[in-house]
Amino acid sequence: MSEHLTQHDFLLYVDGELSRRRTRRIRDHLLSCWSCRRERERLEQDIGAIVDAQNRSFLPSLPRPTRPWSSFDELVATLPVRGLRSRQRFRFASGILDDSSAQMVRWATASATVLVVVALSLWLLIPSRLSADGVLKRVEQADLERTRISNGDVIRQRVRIERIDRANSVRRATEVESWKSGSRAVWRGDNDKLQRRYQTRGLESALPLSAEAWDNWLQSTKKPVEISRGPGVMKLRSDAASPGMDLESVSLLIQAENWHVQEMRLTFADSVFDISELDFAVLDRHVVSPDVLAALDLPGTIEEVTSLKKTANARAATAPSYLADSPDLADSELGVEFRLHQVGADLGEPIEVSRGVSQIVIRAAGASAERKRQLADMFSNDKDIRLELEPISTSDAVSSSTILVDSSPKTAEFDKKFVDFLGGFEAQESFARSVLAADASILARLYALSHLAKRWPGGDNNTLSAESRDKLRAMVNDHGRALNAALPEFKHLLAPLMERFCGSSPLPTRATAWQEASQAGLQAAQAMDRLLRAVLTTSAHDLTIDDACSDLTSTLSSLESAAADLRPEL
Amino acid sequence: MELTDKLAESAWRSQPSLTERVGDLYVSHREEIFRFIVAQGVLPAMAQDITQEVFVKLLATLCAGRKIDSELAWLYRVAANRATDYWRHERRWITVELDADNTLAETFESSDMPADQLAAQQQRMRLLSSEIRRLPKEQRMCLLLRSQGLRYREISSILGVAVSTAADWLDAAVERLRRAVP
Repeated sequence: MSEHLTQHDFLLYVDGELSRRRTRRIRDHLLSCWSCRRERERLEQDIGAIVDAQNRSFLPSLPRPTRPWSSFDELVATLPVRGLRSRQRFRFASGILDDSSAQMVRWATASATVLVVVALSLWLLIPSRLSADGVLKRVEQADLERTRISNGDVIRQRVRIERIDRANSVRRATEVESWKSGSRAVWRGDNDKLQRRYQTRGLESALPLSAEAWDNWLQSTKKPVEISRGPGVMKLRSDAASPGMDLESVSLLIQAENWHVQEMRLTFADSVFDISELDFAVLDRHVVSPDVLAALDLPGTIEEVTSLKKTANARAATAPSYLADSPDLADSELGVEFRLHQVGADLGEPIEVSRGVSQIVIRAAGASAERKRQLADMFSNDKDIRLELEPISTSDAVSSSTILVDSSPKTAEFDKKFVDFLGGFEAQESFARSVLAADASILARLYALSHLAKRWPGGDNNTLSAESRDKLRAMVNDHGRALNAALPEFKHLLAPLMERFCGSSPLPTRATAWQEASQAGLQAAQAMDRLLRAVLTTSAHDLTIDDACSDLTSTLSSLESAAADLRPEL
Repeated sequence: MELTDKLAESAWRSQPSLTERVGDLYVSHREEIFRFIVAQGVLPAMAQDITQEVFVKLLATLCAGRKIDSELAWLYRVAANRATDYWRHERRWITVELDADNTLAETFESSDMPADQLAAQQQRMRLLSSEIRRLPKEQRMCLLLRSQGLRYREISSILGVAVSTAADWLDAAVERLRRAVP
């Protein structure tokens, strides 16, 4: 060997990775080549420096474990021990039983096995000793029964979500109110990223604590479900098949007496979610707030309003006699509406006002605790008014941004051109929040107006006193004023988008009366709301801005037209 | 059934050495395995879980009667597979920053070197450390495993590549570091 050695040769040589023959040749070469000997020394010095840098600088700079190490005994004693021990038991027992000298043992074991199998079969036939799968079926059946609703009804579930950050053991509790009807669900409240995880699993249309949800989560572990029992409760648990999975385990706490799932724990790699149910109710859609109904896209919410015009004239003829003959009750009802309006309780809250036989009935079961207290203060001493409230909860209902989730398993794919125009996904998200908030404000006003139009389709000059008619006009004017104040802001928000992507607006068609304007405005606002959600959120009907442009322009125009008709009289 | 249980339990109790041996490995090598996983970008909490599970899996494998030539290499290989599973499952987790370096000064406090030499060595080490962070992941892993005393064959097995590839990666890493800090 006359040529000098390469670094690769040196590295293999100093690491002892060469064949004997090759090693001998290099050793011989080094004996005769000063230059290569020096190079070898340099390489070894450099390797020493690299190892030092790695051990004293690089490795200590890596993140440290986030919690104390479990002892190995603890590890063996917990998660894998059953499988481990059973495997060992099987191996050793098999070895022993294979020995011909242990024939008696084999016979005894075989007999014992038969007895155990028979006993186990009998044991499993007792309902209280169902297997995990059996319990799961009963639980699902119970959930199916309570969530079976008639068309148009809405399920409301309030849950408490406690999130534990596993990195720092910080706990954070929150309450989420959710509604479901058909294949759509709405979550409202800060769910601390749980909803995103639900979406990832395709659970967009599930209530937080429902069979749909826990079935999916249990399946995702890909491991059988295990059962354990305590006094009055059963616990189902499934651990992830692979430790590399995001979801590590799912456990359900079940009340034995009614097969109701009291709590679900989802353990992810970075956090643990405990979801427990606070309240569950099946509501008539009329007591559900309009924005929730709109988000649920309930059939009937629009048709009901549009058909109102057709049936308005027939209402007096078909209404019960006490309605037509009770001008005092009509005034009382309007008085209640007016007082609700004065405290801002007529803007989309689940408060229903109706006429009973001799009283005005206010149903506010779904209202917040604070609102219920206020209503109790306002109306509880009025003998003409019957207040139907649930027991006032000590905890305030959660009300924050509405999060719309759809049944479509689509991911967040937005029109790239649109996102680029707005300056990225974060800007798009911020824009969507602003626009949808303004949209919700407009919708609330139009729902309130539409409600008044529905109750007093012709102004009800015959049934309302002059004072009540003034109150009605005052409410209409208030809503009209607020609508006309909100609309420019809404248009201002949409203006850059409309200017960039949409053409000029068609001429608005003008309505004549405030009742018609309210209905027309509501239809336009609902259409606008659907379009905006299709463009700005991931919904079942995603649209590009180009596709939506024409409809956006026309609905905005209709909305403006209706708002103009609802402008207060000077 | 009871008889079988007793026999099995007896057999289990007669083999405490296996648990002890893996337990000893766990104590002596868990930090290395943890750092190996973290260096691949897995979040520390997850890396810790993986580390613990890898040792338990080793015990289970040994209990099942499988023969393992190099337990350390086996641990690294399974840890690498687990880290890869994470990487495939959730790409966004590969975001652990490897740029924090506030420990260097402390490591030199007890040195007897003259101040100027100490400063020069610190600077050299910082540069090297910085360059190690910038190495491609494969090269960084090779370097890390080699400095843990693993042979090329073991490294190649852990990283799932040919021995010659592992050798090339290591060579490239050393070459780059030597060039960066002459």
